[in-house]
Amino acid sequence: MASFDELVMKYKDKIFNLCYNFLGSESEAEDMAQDVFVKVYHSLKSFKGLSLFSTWLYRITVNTCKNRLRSLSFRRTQKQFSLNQPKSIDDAHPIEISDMNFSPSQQAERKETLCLIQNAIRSLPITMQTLIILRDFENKSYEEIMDLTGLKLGTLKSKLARAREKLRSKLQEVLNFEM
Amino acid sequence: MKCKQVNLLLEDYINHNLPEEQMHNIKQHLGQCEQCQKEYQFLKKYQQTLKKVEVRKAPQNFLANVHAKIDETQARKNFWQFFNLRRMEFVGAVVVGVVILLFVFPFQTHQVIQNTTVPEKTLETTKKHTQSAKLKKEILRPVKRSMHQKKLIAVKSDTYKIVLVVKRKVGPQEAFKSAKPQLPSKSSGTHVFYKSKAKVAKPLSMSSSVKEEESKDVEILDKVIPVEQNRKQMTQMQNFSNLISSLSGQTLAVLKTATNTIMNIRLPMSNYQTFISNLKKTGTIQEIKINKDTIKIINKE
Repeated sequence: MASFDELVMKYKDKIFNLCYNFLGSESEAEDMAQDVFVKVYHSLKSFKGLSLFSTWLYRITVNTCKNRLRSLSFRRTQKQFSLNQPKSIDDAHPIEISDMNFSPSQQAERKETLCLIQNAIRSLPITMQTLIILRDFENKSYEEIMDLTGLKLGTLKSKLARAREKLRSKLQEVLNFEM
Repeated sequence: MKCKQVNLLLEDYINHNLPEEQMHNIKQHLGQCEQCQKEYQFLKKYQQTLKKVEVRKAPQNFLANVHAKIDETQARKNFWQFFNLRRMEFVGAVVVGVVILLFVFPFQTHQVIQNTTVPEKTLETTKKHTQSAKLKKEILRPVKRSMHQKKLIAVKSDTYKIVLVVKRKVGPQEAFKSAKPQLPSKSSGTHVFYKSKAKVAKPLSMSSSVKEEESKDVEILDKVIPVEQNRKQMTQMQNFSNLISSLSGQTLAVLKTATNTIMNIRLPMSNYQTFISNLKKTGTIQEIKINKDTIKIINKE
């Protein structure tokens, strides 16, 4: 149990952050990260050491999060809205953007941009989401992503390019990204 | 350089992860291609924005919560482990056993009960059979089939029909006097129907009252003991067995006095042995014949 505790303490922030990037909510992320470590606890015996422990742990996390994203209960809790047609400010029920911690500071605008990017990412297909999160949010190398997803380098690069292209088409109107 | 190739390398171009030559080629292409330039600008700003993303940290009590969740799942796992496959197999076997007992046992009981009832046809055929000359020859044949009998007893069900063929010349009055009072009462649990009919030989010295009876055919008995076809009446089967055991003594009395007595009794095997041993003690048995489901006991003349 002590060694397991060490593992939890070592990876808890990374796993929690990855879960947060997938789910966009701290409570959901905490719940998912706990589930990941429970799974790890019960299946530690089946870990054969064929890959790095961190890769194995990330793979479990990615799969758990993808399953959660696919689950009906999660989709129900998410408030869907169109980025192209944002709600007016006068609306009686404004859109609550998940866990943004808006502050009146000068970073507010940048955070808002980030929030819109995150929402745009969540509107992508789950495979594209996964690649973008791993590459752009988690800064994983191509090799690591290849290990986690099982994709070949060429496929990975082309899928990433397609995902970004899609993301750009979603964001260009709202964020004036064309510059 | 084609747009598709540039698109794939844009990220590495931004991060300066490409050889000098490729960097130059892409720079050249971006200056000429508006679409790729847009893509490049987007990716640059996009990556700059994402660099500002703060890394979230897990809550303070994260480890404790993980342990609580592990305990919870462990308890659930233990609960389901209680119903593991072996236990389920055992429970399944017990359930199947109970179902078999519930459905098959009553069916078997019904069969036994059916065997114990005497169809009318059997009575008629037995009667005809005993009257035939052929049977008389068979009766006089000595018993040399003990092994065969044993086999039959072992193989056949425990219920036999016993036909007593009594050949003894006795006056009809005597027969009735000895037979009728010895009838079993209905309180014994089974219903016994008693009829008697026998051809009586004319005695040398006979009173007028006896002469009147001479002309009558006196059928001594056909005992038909129906056992109610009810599972609950299994106890009555036991009563029936007891009755037959007690009857054996009474039957012997009939045998001693009656002539050409035909008893048609269905008898459980266990009682059959007592019955036969009692009969043998009297020394009146001439022959015991065991057929498929009938035992014929022929009395000495």
